[in-house]
Amino acid sequence: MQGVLLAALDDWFPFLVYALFAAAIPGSMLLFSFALSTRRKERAPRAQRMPFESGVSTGPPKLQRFTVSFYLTAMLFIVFDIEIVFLYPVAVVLDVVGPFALAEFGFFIAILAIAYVYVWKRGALEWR
Amino acid sequence: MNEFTAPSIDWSALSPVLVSLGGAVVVLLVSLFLPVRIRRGFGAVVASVCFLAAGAAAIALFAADETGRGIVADALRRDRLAELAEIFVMGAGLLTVGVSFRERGGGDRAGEYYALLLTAASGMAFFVSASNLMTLFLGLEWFSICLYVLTAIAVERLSGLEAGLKYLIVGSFGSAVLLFGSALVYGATGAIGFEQIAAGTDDAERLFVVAGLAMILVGLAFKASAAPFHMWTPDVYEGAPTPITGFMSAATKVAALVVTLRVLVTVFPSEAELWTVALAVIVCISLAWGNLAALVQTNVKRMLAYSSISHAGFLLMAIAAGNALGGRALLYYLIAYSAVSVGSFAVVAIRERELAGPVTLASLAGFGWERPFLGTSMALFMFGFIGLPPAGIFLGKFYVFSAVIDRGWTWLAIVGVVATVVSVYYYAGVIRAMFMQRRELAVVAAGGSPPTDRALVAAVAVAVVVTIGSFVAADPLLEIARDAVALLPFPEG
Repeated sequence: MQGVLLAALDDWFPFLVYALFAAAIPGSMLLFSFALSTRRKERAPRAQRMPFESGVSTGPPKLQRFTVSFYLTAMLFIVFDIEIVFLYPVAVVLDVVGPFALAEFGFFIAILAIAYVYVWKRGALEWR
Repeated sequence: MNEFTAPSIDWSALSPVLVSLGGAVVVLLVSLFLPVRIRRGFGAVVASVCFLAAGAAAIALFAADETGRGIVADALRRDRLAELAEIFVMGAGLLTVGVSFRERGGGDRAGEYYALLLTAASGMAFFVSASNLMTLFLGLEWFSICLYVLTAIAVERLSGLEAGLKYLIVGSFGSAVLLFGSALVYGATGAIGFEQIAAGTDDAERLFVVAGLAMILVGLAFKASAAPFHMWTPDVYEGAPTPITGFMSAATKVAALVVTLRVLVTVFPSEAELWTVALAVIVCISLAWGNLAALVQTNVKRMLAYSSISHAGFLLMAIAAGNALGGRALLYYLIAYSAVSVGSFAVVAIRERELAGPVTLASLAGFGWERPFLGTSMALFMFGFIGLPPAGIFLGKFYVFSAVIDRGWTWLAIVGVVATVVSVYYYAGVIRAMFMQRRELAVVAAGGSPPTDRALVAAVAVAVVVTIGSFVAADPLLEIARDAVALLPFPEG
């Protein structure tokens, strides 16, 4: 029984560490914002009694109009961003697969470059 | 870690795909650096050269490949079926370039237009040679996405945007169904290669195989626009730029039907009893729905869209026969059908440019006398759609009917004959509108004498030659069709 537990711990120990860190970061944020707060509890102005002094106003959000360029740029960003993520798995197996992976890698980048030149020349990156 | 060996890639066997794709990149990038007024000419020239080269490569491969072979680690398959379908697709693409050349507006988008057309053809060439479920889905998405964009490429036209959005949503749904079916088949058999699946279906859970088969069939029927999976067809055909409609009705149909034939016969031979019956049901619904709805259309593009649904019925009937004769009939039918369909949409396109508005039966009045060559060609195409002798569809229908009778389904052939009789009404309606509408009802063409359009007339002339040629030279073409399906493992004969 103990052996099984230890074996499981062996496999999952990195995840345990990861989970501890993941819990510690937001936890410490909450903790320190209380521990280090300098405000006096009594006779504080209204702005200081709000959870975050310099945060977003608590009123209803105003209807804002975004420029179309925002959506276009965001979409292009996502496309290129996701494509770049594909480089990681290739980098991990590069030593196993060898020059073939490097060639494919280069080809992939070349296709991205074509798309980039197209987007650039078509004026999609200009902010209007 | 396992040792990795890179698959050996037979570049020459991939040439039809690569040539058209390379051409697309060239058109896309170079036209950005050209002044707007010569982009269209540049795109058209490069696209024509690429379609010709890709078609020639496919012909050379067809001549060389006596036996099929897997390429790129058996992900794709080179055989005469794939190569013949590639020849059809490239031919349809070439004619579409001619039809599109004088299309109004969009000069600054001409690079994208021709690049997408080439990419779509390239995707279809990939799709028809797919040999596992992954390349099947990849090819399907590859050409479908190009067609979604092409449908909506005239962004000033609201109907085009509507059609593009509808096509995107309904088409994606069809693709998703196909993907789900592929997942079920893979889950049941543990294989994605077509032949491996066929070998593994005997010990697999039959429920999953049958559900997967049904969903793959539905996904392909969406692309072939067979009823009851045709809902997108009339709106998309009407809203898309007319040359693209012609390309879709010819090339997409070729790709979808050839792949349907290949998948059903190679992957599911053990379920042949099931899918032949399922197809027979789809055929009856397509013939009934397509023909009845076409009767009441006044917009010619919409009418042709419903006619394309009913022809999907005839074409699937050839597959439903489930024998080698049916496969031969399908490919032969597709030759004539592609030519007639591109040609008829080309004539609609030129009338549309004259009127600067949609072509209805009423606005076709007098067209046959104003443009004798185009009017006569349109009349020939309509006779062709009906299946009357000067066009190859006559023999195509004849072989389709004999294939199903050979299977013992005389009733299905009778349904086909009845559908043909019904279709005479609306096809003849076009001829009546062009030649027999009284003169005072004739619409005067906008903007004086019609512009000459040699590229479009040449495309129509080629379509006429193929339409009549497929009837005159039926024997050699049937030989070619027989060679193309010779390697498919038909359950009987």
